[in-house]
Amino acid sequence: MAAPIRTFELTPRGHVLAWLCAGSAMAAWLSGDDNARLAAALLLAPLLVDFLLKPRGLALVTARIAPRRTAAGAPFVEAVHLHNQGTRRLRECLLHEPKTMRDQRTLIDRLTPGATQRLELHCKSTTRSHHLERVLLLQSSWPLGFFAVRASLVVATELVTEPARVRLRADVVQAVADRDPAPRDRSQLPGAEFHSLRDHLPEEDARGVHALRSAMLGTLVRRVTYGRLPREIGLVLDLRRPPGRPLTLGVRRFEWSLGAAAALVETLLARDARIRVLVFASRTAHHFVAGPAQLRDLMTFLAEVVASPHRPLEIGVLDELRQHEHCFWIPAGGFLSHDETKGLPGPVTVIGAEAE
Amino acid sequence: MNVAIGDLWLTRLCLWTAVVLALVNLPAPEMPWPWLCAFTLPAALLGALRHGAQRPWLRALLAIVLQTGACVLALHVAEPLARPAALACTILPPMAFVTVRGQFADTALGLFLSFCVLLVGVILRGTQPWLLVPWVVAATIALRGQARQLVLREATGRTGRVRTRPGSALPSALLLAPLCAALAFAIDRTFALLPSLSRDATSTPAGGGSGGGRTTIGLPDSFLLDGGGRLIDLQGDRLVRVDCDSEAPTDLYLRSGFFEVPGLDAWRVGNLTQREHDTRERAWQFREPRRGVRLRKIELESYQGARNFVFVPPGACSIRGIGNLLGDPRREWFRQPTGMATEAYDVAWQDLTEASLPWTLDQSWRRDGLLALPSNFDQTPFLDLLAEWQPGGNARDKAERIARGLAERCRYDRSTPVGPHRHELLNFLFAAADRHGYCMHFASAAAILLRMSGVPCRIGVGLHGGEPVEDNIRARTFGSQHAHAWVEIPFEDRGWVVFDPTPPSERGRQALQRTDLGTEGSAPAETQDDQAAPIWQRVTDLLTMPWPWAIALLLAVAVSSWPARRRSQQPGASLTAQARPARRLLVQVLRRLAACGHPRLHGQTLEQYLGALQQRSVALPELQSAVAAYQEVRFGGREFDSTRLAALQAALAAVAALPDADTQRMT
Repeated sequence: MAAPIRTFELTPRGHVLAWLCAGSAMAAWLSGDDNARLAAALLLAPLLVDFLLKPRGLALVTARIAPRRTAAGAPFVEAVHLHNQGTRRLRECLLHEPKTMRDQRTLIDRLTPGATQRLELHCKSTTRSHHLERVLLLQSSWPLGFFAVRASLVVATELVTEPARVRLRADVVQAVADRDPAPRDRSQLPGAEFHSLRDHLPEEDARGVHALRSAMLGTLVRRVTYGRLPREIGLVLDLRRPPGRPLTLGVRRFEWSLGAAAALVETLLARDARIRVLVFASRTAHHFVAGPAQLRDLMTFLAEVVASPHRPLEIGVLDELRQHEHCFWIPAGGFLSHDETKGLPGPVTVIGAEAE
Repeated sequence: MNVAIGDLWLTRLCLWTAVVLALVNLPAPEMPWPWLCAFTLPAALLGALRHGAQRPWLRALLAIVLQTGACVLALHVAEPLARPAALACTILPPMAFVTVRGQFADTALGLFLSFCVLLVGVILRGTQPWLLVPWVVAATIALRGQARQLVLREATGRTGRVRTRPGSALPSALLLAPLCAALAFAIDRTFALLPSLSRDATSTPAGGGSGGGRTTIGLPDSFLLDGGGRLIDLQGDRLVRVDCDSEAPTDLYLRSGFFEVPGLDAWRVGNLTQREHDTRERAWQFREPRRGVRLRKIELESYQGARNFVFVPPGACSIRGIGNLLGDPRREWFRQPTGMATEAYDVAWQDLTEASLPWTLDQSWRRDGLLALPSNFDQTPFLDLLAEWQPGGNARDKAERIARGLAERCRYDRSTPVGPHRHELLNFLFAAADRHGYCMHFASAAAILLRMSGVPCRIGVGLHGGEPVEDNIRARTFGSQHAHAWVEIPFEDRGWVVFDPTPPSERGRQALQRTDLGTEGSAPAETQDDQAAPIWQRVTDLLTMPWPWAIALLLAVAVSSWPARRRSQQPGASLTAQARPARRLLVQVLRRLAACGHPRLHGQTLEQYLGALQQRSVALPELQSAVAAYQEVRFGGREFDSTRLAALQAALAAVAALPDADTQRMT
């Protein structure tokens, strides 16, 4: 755990006052004038009061935060317990977590020695990441605001910021099931059966439009009936950049692709499918998602991944996906080779290829 | 928002209070209201027009036009400002402009502007504690309120004003305000310790004032004495000691020089007829003593800083013991030749003031220019004064009437007179209000008025009053704080008679303000207050001395800079009330186990301890239940109910049955 950092510095107002005070003191020294001396004293007095009364035990505050799992950009309320282990009362402290709280700060009016205070912070983690410790900044400029004292509170807790979920098109998810003929008796089928409405797209067949509902809403909506999903579905998440392309480009596409992968896996898992995930990065990672625990592991993994330089696939790496009836392929790094997708026997749905 | 709410109205109120106090501190005579408006209203107008003129060059142009117009208008309405006032006030327009320039809501800048106005008042009028202390209090509260506003604004993320509940910042601000005032005083005292390039740390500040617990008067003038010395060169607590042949008079005048050539800003000595005389063997008898008047003898001892001067009281007859002496006996002026510095000499003198002699003016002095008036001198206002006061009768009556008129018209103050006129004396006599000055101004005004009334006179300068010496009523000492100026009128048979137009209460004030009067107990009219005075004066002395304040400041900084301590964790300090009896029982169990040869090691958790006991085959089911019960109460927040009490008591009973370590060893 990193050591807390403490700083004690003049604020911009304090700088101005200190310069004025130095000027007056210099004038008093050069001229021996009593008025200049009085001016220097009047200017220095608030500066000194602020220095003497400044709360100095900020670094002795400890914080407790429960482990947190969130999606990038999703707002959440964090409960923080602050405990003042020092002997001095802290006043008017501003609490700030640069990682999650952006520009918003929370004011702690006073924190008595030995007391614990519970705060609710409105946070939002915007960057996909996985941290094992969180850093809170505690700052106070009490009483007069000429000096600012800051301390960083390092809390050993886990913060997993999963990829921001992407809204997938219905036809993408249904690509797995649409090929199957509709069963006669749906009650015997495994998995959740879902019937819903969605906006009608101009290029679609008009026979699927729900006439009554469209008339009621005033816009064309069509019926969507999810069909049977296969028991196991393959997902290839390719993090490799195209040959010769730098790793630093294509960040938005990369993040979108990870969000799409996360949303797809969640959707499929909610419909009782099991997903075998192959992640092509600097080395190939294998995941099998059949329940919440594996889903959490996969999301943690997705929170950590980065784009990798291009490399050829190992021979036979796709063999474990050959048994699946359907596969999704997400070229997150921006590289897509049809030679590689052809290696899979079943149908392959490529997500995000048009973004390249 | 989980914060207490601050107070905007209090900040604004205190800011305006500080501004008003700063304006009140401006002296009205030196700063007539047209000029005050000229210096402040353009900035206020510019502030009001902030939405109309946002471009910097337009604002600057507007500021120049407004300021110039206001000054021209003030010149027509009121008299020109005095030079010091004008100089002091030049900081106001730029400060006001800076304050209103895009920073309308910043309390700190408004406070700084009021600070500048206050400083102008201090420069012109001197420090007024009854205004300065409230200003510090108001400014501190405003600063505190603004600091809270800034914090709230940062916390809420809003850029506009934060509406707050009144009073939340007030308690801390009320505590801070006196602290701020005390610190300002302490810093001022501490800065007084520091040496200055322009002032010797050991010397007395010129022009009157107090420093280092010593009150001084001095003569901050440019009146030259022959021989190259100025009276202001007399510096030091002890310049002359006088030993009389009887009880020393308390109102003794010791003349060191005089001025005959008049001026509105400075008087000059004039012509001297110098003679040299050796007084080592024989006294220099320059005037025959009057019969029937007691001839007094005094011995004067000059200390370092005054050995160039020869001090003689008016009515002096002879000097002895000083070696070669240069002097003009008719004018009673004496000096030692350059390079000579005799320490002690004797003077014989007579007090002819109360002698039964006629009060006839010595008309011979008319020919020697003692009725001359300053050159380029407009007599009209002086004649108006004489017409108003109508001094009549003999020279003595005229002098008394003029003194009374001056006392009614002018105020004694140890600061240079200021006003619309070009000369100090004219400002002293004819300023619109607050006509003030010190002894030299009283003496020169009286001398000119006396000469205009036909009375020849001159200004005598030297020392007056002195301080008694402890346990010796015949001796008095004189220092630079007793420097003084008066008027001398030549009378036939009496010589130079002192006429002092400075109000008597002010003449003696310096001596009474002295803090090191060791012999005040011998004062003739001593009251209870006087008896208590030394204790009070010692306390005041201590408070005005810079060293205690400097040490206190250093201590405060050291204490506040001390690293913050972690709270000491007392064993059981964080125990809840319910966990205490459970802990007590568990401690008894552990003590018993330790007595049985199974002590719990330092740092060992209860679980580790139970594991160790199991390895030794002494694990008891009651013990495990007791530990579980204790931990449920201690860490689980459960109540210490009868079930858990029974579990702990059962464990206590079980371990009580275990054999002692000594018994085990025996077996």
